[in-house]
Parts: sequence; C-alpha cells; structure tokens
Amino acid sequence: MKDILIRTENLNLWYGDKQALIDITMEVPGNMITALIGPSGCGKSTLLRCFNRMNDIIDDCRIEGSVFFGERNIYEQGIDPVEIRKNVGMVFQKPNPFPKSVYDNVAYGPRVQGIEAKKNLDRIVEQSLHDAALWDEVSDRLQESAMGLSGGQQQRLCIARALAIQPEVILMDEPCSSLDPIATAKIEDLMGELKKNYTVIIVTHNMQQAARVSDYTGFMYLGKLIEFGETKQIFESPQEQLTENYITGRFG
Amino acid sequence: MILMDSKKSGAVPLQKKSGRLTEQSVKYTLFITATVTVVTIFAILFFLLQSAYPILEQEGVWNFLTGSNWKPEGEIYGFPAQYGALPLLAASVAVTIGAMALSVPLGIGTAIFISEIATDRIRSIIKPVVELLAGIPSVVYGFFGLVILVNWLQVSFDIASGEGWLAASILLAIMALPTITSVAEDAIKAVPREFKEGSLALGATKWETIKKVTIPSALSGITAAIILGIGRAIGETMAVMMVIGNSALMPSLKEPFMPLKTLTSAIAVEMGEAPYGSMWQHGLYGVAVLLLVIVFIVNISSTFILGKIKEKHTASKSRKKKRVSPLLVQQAKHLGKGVIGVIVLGVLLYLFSIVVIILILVGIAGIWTAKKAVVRRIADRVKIARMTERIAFGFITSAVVVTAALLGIILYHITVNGAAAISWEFLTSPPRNLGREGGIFPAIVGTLLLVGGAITFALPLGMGAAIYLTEYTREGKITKIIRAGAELLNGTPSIVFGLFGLTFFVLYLGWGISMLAGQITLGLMVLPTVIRTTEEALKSVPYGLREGSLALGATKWQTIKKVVLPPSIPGVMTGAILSIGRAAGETAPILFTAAVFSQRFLPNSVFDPVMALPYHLFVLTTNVPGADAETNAYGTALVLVLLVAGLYLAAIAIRNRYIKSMKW
Repeated sequence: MKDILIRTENLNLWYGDKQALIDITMEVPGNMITALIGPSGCGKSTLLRCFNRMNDIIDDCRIEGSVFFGERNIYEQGIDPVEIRKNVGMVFQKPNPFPKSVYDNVAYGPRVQGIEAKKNLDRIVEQSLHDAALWDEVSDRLQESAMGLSGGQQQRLCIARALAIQPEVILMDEPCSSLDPIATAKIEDLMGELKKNYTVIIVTHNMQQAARVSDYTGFMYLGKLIEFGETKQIFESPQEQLTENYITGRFG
Repeated sequence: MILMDSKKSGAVPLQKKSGRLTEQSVKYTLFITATVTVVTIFAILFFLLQSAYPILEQEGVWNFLTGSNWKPEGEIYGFPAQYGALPLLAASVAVTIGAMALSVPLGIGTAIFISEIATDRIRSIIKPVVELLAGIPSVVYGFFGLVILVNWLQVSFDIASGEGWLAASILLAIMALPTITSVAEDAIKAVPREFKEGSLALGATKWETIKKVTIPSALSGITAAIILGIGRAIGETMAVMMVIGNSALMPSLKEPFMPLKTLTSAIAVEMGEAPYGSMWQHGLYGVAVLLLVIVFIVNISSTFILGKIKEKHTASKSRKKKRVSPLLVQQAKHLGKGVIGVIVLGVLLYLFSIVVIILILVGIAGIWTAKKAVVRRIADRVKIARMTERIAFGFITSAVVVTAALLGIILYHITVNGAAAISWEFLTSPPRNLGREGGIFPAIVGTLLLVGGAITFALPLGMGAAIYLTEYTREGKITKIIRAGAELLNGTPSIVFGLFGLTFFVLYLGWGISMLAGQITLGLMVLPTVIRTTEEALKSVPYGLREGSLALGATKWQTIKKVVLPPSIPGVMTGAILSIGRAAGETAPILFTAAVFSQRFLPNSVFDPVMALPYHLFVLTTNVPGADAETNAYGTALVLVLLVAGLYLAAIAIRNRYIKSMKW
C-alpha cells in the first residue's frame, strides 16, 4: 500500500438516536482514487462528510472517534472546521454553482481566503478551469451566470471551484448521478488527471464507475465498513459474502 | 358500449339529469362567490372616486396633489378653505421612512437570526414573539404609544409634547417588523441548502456564507419584504393617529418631534367632523383615493417581485420542494416559555432603559473582542474571519433582543396595569360616567357579535371562492383576475374599508350606523385571508383521492363534498379563527360604520349601533381624561389582547391536531 493520508479510527456517528456509522476504521492512501460503494442509506455519504466536518452543520448529529489527516485528528477539541475545509474540496451530488458569474464562482474560495489582487485571482481562476477541463468551453463567457451552463459543465465548474482553494483532498459525493453518459465520461477522465495532484474520495452508486476509476474501494452496508481493499481485489475476489452479493447484483 | 349506454340512459335518466343540473348550478354559484373580491374592489374604487370627484373637479388633480396647505375646515369656520394634500402625503412618506430606518435593520437581522443562526430551541421561542407582535391590535399599539412611548419621549428629550413624527415612526417600526421579518425569513429559507453547503465546503465561515451567498440569493425576496413593510406602514391608521399629533404641517428634517398628519390619520380624524356633503368631506375621499393608489402600487410591485422569484425557482429545473406553510405550528409548545422570557426581558430592559443596556452590551462586546485580539495576536485569517463572524452575530443577536424586548415592554405594561383594572364587575357591567366607572360588558358582547357576523358573511363566500379557484378552473385569465382582486383587497388599508362601509352600507343603502354595516365591512376585510387559507387546505388534499372518487362514478361536486372538503375542514377553521382574531382587533373599519361609545344596552337588531372593545379603548384613551379612564383603558386593552391571543392559540391547537391526524 502507498502512503496513508487519511485514517479513521472507531468512527461512530448518530443522527439523533439513529446510528448512521458504526465503528469505521479505514485508511485512505494519498494520490489515489478511493471509492465508497454500497446500497442507499448505508452511510457512505455520511462517512464522506466526516472528512471535511460537513456533518457539523446538522443540528442533532453526534460523532465519536477520530479522523486523522496525517498526524492531526480533525475532531480534536479546538480545531476549527473552517480550517479543515480549506484543505478539503467537496463536489456535491447535484451541481450547486452559486447564482453568480463563472468567474466569481471559481474566485469565491480564494476570496474567502483573503486573496484580493485581481492578477492572482485571474491566474487561479484560469488554472482551476484548465485543471477541471472546462477552460476551453467557458473562457469567452467568464462573466456570464454559471446557471446558464449545462449540467455537466456546472459540475466541472464545481470541481474547478474546489480546486481553486488548492486542497489536498477532493471529496466527491455521487458527482455524476445527475449527469448524462457523455458528461459522466468527461468527469471520469478528469478524475484520472486529478489523482496526479490530489487524493480523491468518491461516493458512487454506480459499481461500474467504481470499478473503472478507483484504485481502492470500500464497501459499506448498514453503517458498517464491510470490506476495504484494492479495487481489483474487491471486484474479482471479495473476501466477504455480503460484498460478493452486492457486486454480483444479488441485492442493492 | 352500446349496451351500457342504453342501460344507463334507460335505468337512471332522471337522476342523471338532475345531477347535471346541480353540478351546473353549483359551479355557477361558486363562480359568483369567487367574483365577490373583484366586485368589491371595483365598488370601493367607484364609490371613493365618485365621492372624491367634486373636489378633483374644483381643485384639479394636480393642485390637489401638490397644494401645500391642507385647511379644509375653513369651509365651516369661515376662513378660506385650502385643499392641498401634499402635507399629508409628505407626512405619510416621512413617517414611513422613519419607521423603515428602524424596522428594516431590526427585521432583517431577526430574519437572519431565525433562519440561519438560532438553534431549534431559540428559534421556537423567537418565532412566536414575532407572530405575537403581528397579532397585537393596532389600537393597542396606539394606546401603548400614547401612555408610554409619548411620555417617555417627552421626558427623555425634554420637549413640550412627545406626540409627533418620531413617536409615530417608532410605533410603525414595531408594527411593520413582523411583516418584514416573516417575508424576509421565507426568502432566506428558500435559498437552496446546496448553495450554503457549497460555500461552507470551500472554507467560508457561516457569516461569510450568509453575507456572500445567502443574502445575495435572497435579495429580491428581502426587497419584497421591505416593500410590504412600507405598505403596512403607509396604510396603518389607528396607532398613527393616536400618537402623531395631527397637525397638517410639512415635515421638516430639523424637527423630528414635530406633529404631522398623515393620509390615514386625516381621514380618521376629520371624517367625523366634516359635515355631510361638504367639500371637506369630498376632499377626504380624495385623500382616500390617493392612499389607495399608493398602497396598490406598493403591493403590486411586491407581488411582482415575489412572482418573479417563484418563476425563477420553478423554472430552474433544480428544485420543486414543497415548503410547509410557516405557521406558528411547531412553535406552539414554546409559546408560553417565550412569552414569559420576553416579559422578563422586557421588564429588565425597561427598568434599565433600552439604550443604556444596548450601549453596555456593545461596550462589553467591543472590549471583549479587543482583548481577544490583543491576547491571541492573530496571524491566522481563519481567526480573523471567526472574529468578524462573532461581531456580526453579536449585532444580529442584539437586533433580536431589541425586538423581543419591545414585545416584552408592551405585554408587561398591559398585563400589570390591566390586571389591576379587571374585576368581575368590570367584565359583566355596562360602562358609566363615560367609561370611567362600570365595566365593558356591552363592548365584549359587541365585539363578539361583530366578528361572529363578519365570519358568517366571509366564510361561505371565501370557501366558495376557494373551491372555485382550486377545483373548477385551470390557472388562467379568470383565476388571475380573481386572485388579483383578493390580493388588492388584502392590501387595502383598513381605514379605506371603513370609508367604503360608511359610503356604501351606512349612507347609500341607508342602514345607518349599524352592527350589520360593521359586520359586512369586517367580513369583506377578512375575505382574502379566508380564501387563501381555504385554498391551502384544499390543495393539501392529494390529487389521487379526487381521482379515486371520480373513477368510482362520483360527480365533481360529490367528490368535493365527500372526499375533498372533510379533511380540509381543520385547515379552513384555522383560517376562520385567524380571521376572527384579526377582525376582533380592528378599529378603523367600524369607526364610521358600527361603533358607538358608552352604551348601556346591547343592540336589539342588526340595524342598531354596537359597542366594541377596540373602539372603546380608542375613545377612552383619546377622549376621556382622568386616571380612572386610563385604568379602565388598560383593562380593556388586556381583555382585547387576551381575546385575540386566545383565538390565535385556538387556531394553533386546531392546526396541531390536524397535522397529527393527517396521514399523507
């Protein structure tokens, strides 16, 4: 295995009385694509949102256990989730560009971090749009509203927006679920490029997608991490009966 | 096919035919009820314009609008009368601007607090506070303004009289606050969660997210909220006339305490003095037309903006999430807690006086943050952002504290002083010595009779209109016109209803000052509320139920009667009770149509005049001098507030049961 970047230890999470994550312990290697798969409601999105403490904004959510980024436990007392989120980009299920121009969408993160100089911003915006494979399509309409882009373009814009804060990790929560096959193919190609510089964790419903793009795969079921390993191994010789049932389509 | 047809037409031809007939007649009856709003709007416009015509003809529209002297009483006091409405118009604008300067920051701050910052617990206390502010009758605000606010201004600023511009603006600010808060809150809540999450995920703080994403996205809704607040302020009559001093002067920025006379207060004050058929009276109708036009423009522009938002939200394929109507439902439990907390807060703040407390709070916040800044020697941007956030939230929270404190002060005064006045005798005997002695029994009964009659009139009409709108038509031109009628009627100031009632029922139909005239005037006023709440209730019945019934061979009307109406009854009743609560507190519509002061007996028929709690409170406060009158005014105010609050609580209770029993 390669260098471990993120490590969870006995992570438990409750929404009110309902336990959504049970004793999750796993290690996510750096500069790889890790996929989380499993049936609806198994907790894969919840787990993903633990990596940038997005669950903090849900009122009755309670978390025990730790998530280490390198040596640092991001759930330690006194750690500001805002600081964490600057190092972790996130792409959501439905494209959610702000109702602002393309430029302002990408520049949002850097501006929030205090970068004001036009020259710097221009450079970051162009670079991020390039990296998200969107530059050629929008370079002539940076000042137009992002709401006018197609669904696939909007999602790549959201990726560009996440890249602009120069994160180490990018979390993707079913990024292709609302896109058509062509747009999906573009995003998948993009992921391959991204792993050169970033660590990507993707939640997906689509097993073929997990098999196509990821290096490591975790299979979750009813809040538990059933099996975690190299994608090839998970799909070709799963160790657990549950995993095998799921990937052979016997349930889910 | 053929077999079935012949069988049907042979076996039950009569039944089918009569069924068809009922179906048709039901449809037409419902259509007629639906047109009442539109007819009323035109009737109001027609009668007001007709009565205003002589003055416009004599003075010319332009001179009437721009003349800078309003001295219509010259006609009877023997000096040259002047009919320039500009001072009244300017006063209305000035008072409204003053009110907005206070109300907009407080209202929007409170809206942000409720929707973005507060925890569920705090929210469930603050929301009822805002709803309660909206529920207090305007005559009670006026009473509070006159006995507390005006005196406070007089003493604090050492002026001859506290009555005037500033007092009216402060009072109007409190009254417009709930409108602004609730509409702005809706707008902020409608901002998709994904926007906020997107921003937070990029490392923005909550405040940065609010400032840069949430508020800009909700901007048009917030604008509409402000416009609606302006409409509320411009149309308000009773509270304003009680504290504004009523002199038709041009407002001057140098004198914030000067007495003024607004469009509404001119009508309310002078209509009783102007001789019947005089130019003076025609002039007041002219003023009413002017008022109506302004309010229509204001309301139409806010409807337009809100409509645009709706369009945007439904047009973008992103979301069609149905939002639960933001009634006070979930907060009901915490109402008691909220009220107690608010009263305690009000007492505290009143004792130390608002200003001092706020200064101390801001001072403490300043020192605290400054200290933090020094001790931690911030290098990190996150900490700076967090500090900005704390300061911003501090300001927003103090806006909420001020709002809650205002309600606390009002409730505290009325409860403490009113409780002292209330006794068994007070509740059960007629007034003596101009209300200084005796009780308010005829006023309590009179108010119940008035609102009872109003709802008896409005409920069938409103339900009919709502059924027609939801069940019998597709959205199109006709529904648009009917809805526009209801919308305009909803925005029409209560004093205009009063004037219309006087012109049409009292004078034109010759009913005289009578209970019936008051009941129907109030009924017309609450009609839009009944229509809207009934429509909501009908729409909440799933479409599948209707299809199920129709597929079993039931006619449309049978389906409505047996399947659609029964489950929507609780919703309709909630709307009816809310309407009763509103009608019970209104003064302006019964001012010239139904109400009398001090009367020993109850009315014998619907053509007798009647006493009413809000009117009694109004006259006691403004026309009867003496400490006894003030004590009894407190008692009357408390009874009125309790009555209205009781009705709202009943509405909440019904709503809650309804939600529990609803299975879909």
